[in-house]
Amino acid sequence: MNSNYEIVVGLEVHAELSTETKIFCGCKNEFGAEVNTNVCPVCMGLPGTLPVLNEQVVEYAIKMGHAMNCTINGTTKHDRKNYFYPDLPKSYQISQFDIPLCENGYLDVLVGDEVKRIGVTRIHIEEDAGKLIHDDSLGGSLADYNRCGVPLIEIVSEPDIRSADEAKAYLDTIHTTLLYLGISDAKMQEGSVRCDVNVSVRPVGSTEFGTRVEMKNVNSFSAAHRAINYEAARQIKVLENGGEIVQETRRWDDVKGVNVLLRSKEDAQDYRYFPDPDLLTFTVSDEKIAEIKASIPELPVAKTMRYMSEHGLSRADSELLALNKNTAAFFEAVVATGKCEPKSVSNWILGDIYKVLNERKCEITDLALTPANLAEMISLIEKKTISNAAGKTVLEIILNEDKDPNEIVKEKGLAQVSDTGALNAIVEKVLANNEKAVADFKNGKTNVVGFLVGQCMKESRGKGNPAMLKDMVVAAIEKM
Amino acid sequence: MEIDIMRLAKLAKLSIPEDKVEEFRSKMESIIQMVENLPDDLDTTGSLVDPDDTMELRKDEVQPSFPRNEMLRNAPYTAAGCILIPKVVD
Repeated sequence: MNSNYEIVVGLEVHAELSTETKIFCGCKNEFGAEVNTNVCPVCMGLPGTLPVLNEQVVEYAIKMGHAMNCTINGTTKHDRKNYFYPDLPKSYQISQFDIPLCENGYLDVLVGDEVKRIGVTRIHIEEDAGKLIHDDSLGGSLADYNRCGVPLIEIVSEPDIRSADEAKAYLDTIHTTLLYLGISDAKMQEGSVRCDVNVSVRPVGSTEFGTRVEMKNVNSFSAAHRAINYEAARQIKVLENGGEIVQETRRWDDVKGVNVLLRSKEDAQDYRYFPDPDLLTFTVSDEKIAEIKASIPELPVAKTMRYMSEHGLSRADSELLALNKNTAAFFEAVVATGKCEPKSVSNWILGDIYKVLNERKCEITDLALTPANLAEMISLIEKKTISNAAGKTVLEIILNEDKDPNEIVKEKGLAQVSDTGALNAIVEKVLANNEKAVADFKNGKTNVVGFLVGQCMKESRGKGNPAMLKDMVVAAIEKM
Repeated sequence: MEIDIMRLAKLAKLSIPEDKVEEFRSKMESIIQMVENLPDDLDTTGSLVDPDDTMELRKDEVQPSFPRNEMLRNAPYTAAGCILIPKVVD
């Protein structure tokens, strides 16, 4: 990237809300149903029908508004956004124009180790459109209206984003926030979160914005990262060659890694917004708004920062733990027992337990593992009652069964032998059987100590205390 | 007020033959004139919310959807449980 230029990005994120029903009718809000089975005259836009707003949509959108530090407009309305496209049977989308439900907020995101504050212009509620399936064999397109009327929030950022990395961090933070709040299943692959990207560039030091280009069809957050870098480079090249950027909409092709012109400014849509006469003003009381605010949990970025400062964990580990609501809650529950070091808890969760979650493609809450059992297991290692290796054996059992680790240690005889007499016998035997290694050690090849300790561990059938064994091996050779 | 009748036609997806443009322009002009003649004391500068006349919201409870064959009865062409429409690509 040419360092004489600065990238300026603004993002519009659409997220489907995970309500039971659609925004304006009682049809099921469900992904993957048989085509045109979750439809009725309201969502198919038949004449003579009237939309009735779902209160859960308002509540969910206000939750997101609070999470993004917005002002909530307790008195607002709906407006029609008019355009012709066959995925929209009414030829208008019910949206919000001049009074969004939430506005003037911000989101703090972590970029590297820095906290970056990104302004949020507005969050409004609207209905999703249907889906078109293009089929050449039929000589036309198929319209499935199941998605028509699925509730959406549109989150519009200020042009505060200065790099593809910042954009990615912002999108990731929105994603985890949606999941934390439990208001969207946020599945990118099902299209429940989508984004439009606005990119411009300007010479470093300039205070005026360059002409912006909007990109459509950016279907994943990693695609957003690629699309921003591509578009910024394209614009810089145009400017460097003495050209001018024109305001236009381009379509991102993630497979080819390029974008192509979709429409120029002259063809820009004129949506002719006006207040929807089918819907009246709606109000949310100050008490209700405050009540929703009180229900917002600690959010991922705040958690990440707290894990770093309170538990001394690294930024990367803190973020990984905080990323998933269930994992974070589990980590906190283990730490809350006060039985073991947060750092060890983090290592076990992000190591062995994560591996299992990936293999089984499940959440930590799907395991039989309880915070109490994990805490007990780790404390047994920290008290040197069992070795790390024995800890793994215990973990394998408590992952699938709610059983006291102390009992497992007893039943399987996993307790570490720290009895000097017993260990001494083992050391003597091993040294007698490995004269060559002992000679090597005396000749300065001190790294053979690892091999000798390994032999001792084997002899003790994994129960010896390795730290003690190491000291004893060294002491014994030095006495020889 | 200058009216671009072809732009309005495009927005409304109407095709207006060349020789009718002038006619539609003058008719549209008189419609706009009529609207402009509405009394000035109508306050339309606000955002048109009316806190004294608000709507009740609906509980998030599933109601049965309509049978698909019923819903598709209005469509001129159907295929594979969908409404078949002229090919669109965007």
